[in-house]
Amino acid sequence: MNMLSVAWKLSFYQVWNRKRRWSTVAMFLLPVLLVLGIAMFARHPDTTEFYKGFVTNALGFFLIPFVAVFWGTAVLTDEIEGKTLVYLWTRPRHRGTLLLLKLMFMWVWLALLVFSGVAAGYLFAYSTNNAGGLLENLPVLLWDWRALTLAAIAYSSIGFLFSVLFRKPLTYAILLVYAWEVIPNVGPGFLKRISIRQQMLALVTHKEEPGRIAKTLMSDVVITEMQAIATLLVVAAVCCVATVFIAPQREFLSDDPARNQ
Amino acid sequence: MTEIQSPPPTNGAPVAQLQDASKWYGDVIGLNQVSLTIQPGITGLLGPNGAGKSTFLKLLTGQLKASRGQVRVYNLDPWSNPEVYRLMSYCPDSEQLYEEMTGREFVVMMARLSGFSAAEAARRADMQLERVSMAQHSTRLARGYSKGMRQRTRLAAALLHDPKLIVLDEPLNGLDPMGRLEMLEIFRQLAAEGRSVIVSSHILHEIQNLTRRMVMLHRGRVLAEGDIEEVRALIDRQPLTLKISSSRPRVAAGYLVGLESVTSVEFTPPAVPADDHSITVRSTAPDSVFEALQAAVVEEKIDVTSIEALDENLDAIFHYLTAQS
Repeated sequence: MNMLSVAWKLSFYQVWNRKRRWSTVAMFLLPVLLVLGIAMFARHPDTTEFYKGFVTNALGFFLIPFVAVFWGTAVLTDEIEGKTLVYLWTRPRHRGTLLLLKLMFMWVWLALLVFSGVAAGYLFAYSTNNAGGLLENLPVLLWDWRALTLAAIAYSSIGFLFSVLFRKPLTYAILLVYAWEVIPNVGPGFLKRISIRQQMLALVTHKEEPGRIAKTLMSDVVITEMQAIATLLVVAAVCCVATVFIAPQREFLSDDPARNQ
Repeated sequence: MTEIQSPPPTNGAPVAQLQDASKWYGDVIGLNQVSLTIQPGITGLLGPNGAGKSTFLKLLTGQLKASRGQVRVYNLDPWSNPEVYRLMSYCPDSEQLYEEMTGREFVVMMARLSGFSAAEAARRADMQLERVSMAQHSTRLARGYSKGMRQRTRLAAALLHDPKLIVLDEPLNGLDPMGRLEMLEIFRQLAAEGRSVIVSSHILHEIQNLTRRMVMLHRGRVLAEGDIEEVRALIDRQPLTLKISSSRPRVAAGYLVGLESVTSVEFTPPAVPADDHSITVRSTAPDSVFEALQAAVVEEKIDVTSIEALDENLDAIFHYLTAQS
């Protein structure tokens, strides 16, 4: 209980401390503002089409992966940069486990962020078209929330692992998200199996038609729902376990005067 | 529920032992083949900035792994070993706290990390904050704290679980003179309670009144260790520096310059015109200086208002030792 209590406090602190507060609010508001903008300025929008692009691209490709790797790496890097890691490292607790618990509470914040984004798009899409009411389409909201949250958990776990491997983990994580993750879209089909984004796309309710993207090559790989869920969970689990083992074995010091002699 | 477990038995093991311990940061050496044993009580760790004090303490507290050699705290390997923290606590030199937490929230959180239940953590936090005179400020956010308040808060967090060994990295930094005295008193109390305390500082006189047992580091090596008297024995070959204040310093100097043991005599004007002038004398045989001064007092009727041995100050000893090395 003590570890959980501390981990929750630290995750809350990471997301809502004064330095981060406004960027967190902006992350929560961004999708809502985007939806409001479309609602106010677009004339006769195809709301179903909008929702599909909103979930898979605006949220699934841009916002959520970025926030996930950012918060995932920051579980450790915030403590290093804030020079507070020493307080966590010098108590009779397993270091890796404490970090893992903090990451798990970050998943709660990520799930809330995903929900606010998906819900904003959903409310817009299904309260204004003839595809049925909000209640009838509730599974759409829930399944898309699940898909994006699982992807966020996987991305944040990768960021978490990078934080114990690299000096600039966020840079590598962003390269992974915005460079590597683009390749499976245009590359051979088997690459889709090792792409978080493609696993997430296999779970969202509005899937892209095979071959619709002009540049897609060999897009015949079909990822089933169970495969996608299992893959995302396995990626997260492997990253977390590796980090829990690696973290206590690494030295995280940047300010020792003897280094600068 | 209190989750804290009993600390591992120490079975009379020395507080800390380093055997041939070295730490490299790439090409830079932080600590170089250090072998020493820390005994119970207060030990001062002395050395200028960059001497390797922080590296030494981080090795001792398991934040760094020795590149070579062995480090033991109560016979336990401290590297990445949470068990050691049932016996030991560490108060870092970093000023940073969780700036958006109150001092009390921080100390309670540290208590919970030490394994105490919410109620027990709060009780212990309040007790230690009271001890370091931070109780009245503990509900303020840490970002409004002065350096001294941060030091006190960190010390409160270090004392939460009644550690047998308390490692303090530059704990007097940022404290005003009154705060330093209070802090030194707390350290003495901790030693009187049977705890061992390791205090690092680059300001030697801070340690002088706290303990006679010290380890001096310079460029990653142990320059000297042991009692201050033992350290003094190392420098007996060096001239002793005496500051002599007199109403007639030139006459006094006349008696001293002819002595074989006196290597130099310098005149120092007084800070206040009304005060006596002083002379600074360096001698390899202080007894001969005292005899010559006695003769001057008797024969020339001069007043000698004070004789001060500057070398008793640790700064001077350190200076000698580093010059020797």
